[in-house]
Amino acid sequence: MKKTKPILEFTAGSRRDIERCRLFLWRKPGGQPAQRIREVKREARRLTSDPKLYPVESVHPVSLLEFRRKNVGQFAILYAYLEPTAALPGGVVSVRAIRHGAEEDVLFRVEESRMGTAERHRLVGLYLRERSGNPRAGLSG
Amino acid sequence: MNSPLTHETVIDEDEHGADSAIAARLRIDYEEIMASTAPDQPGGRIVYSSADYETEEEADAALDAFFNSILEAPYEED
Repeated sequence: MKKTKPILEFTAGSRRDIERCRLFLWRKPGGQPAQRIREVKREARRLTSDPKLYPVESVHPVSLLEFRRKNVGQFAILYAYLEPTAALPGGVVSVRAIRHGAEEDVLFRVEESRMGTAERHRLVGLYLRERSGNPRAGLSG
Repeated sequence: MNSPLTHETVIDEDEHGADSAIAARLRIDYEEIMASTAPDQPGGRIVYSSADYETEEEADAALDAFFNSILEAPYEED
């Protein structure tokens, strides 16, 4: 008997994530945004072949939605797999978010550009301390 | 199942080498993802579903179109 493939769906949030990752890669020399984004597409599509290949990382306490993660190079695809039902015999792979390994750096730079110099220096110090684990790192004077 | 809502993970180094310097620790906040992609939130709206198409080929073509619409959009600086 032929196995029914799961439905594949993307949320508006995951689309925004892809757009943000594309912009980041575009700004980065050698980022190859089109190639990388197509890899995400290919691997998301591949998830429907074996959606339970990746372990559950988190469960929504109310809906009991199970979140899983697939790494694709520098990206992580965060998705929920809904088990088959009578109405949806293949189940559903619902892509909820895409994260990039350097995302925290990206967000930091965006916030930084909106700040004044003094505030920027203060946050750079905090950032370096957090990154290094050294409470004195990034502090001057 | 009792699982934490926040995970830290290490993203594999890029297989093509171009981004290897940014193989960084990624903090995934599942609580935020769950909240922002709940069905009643704008981020939870389904913008692509293969269920909307009669055949797998049509769904694949629509997925290509969905990604192409992202890739072909003009870049907008923040």
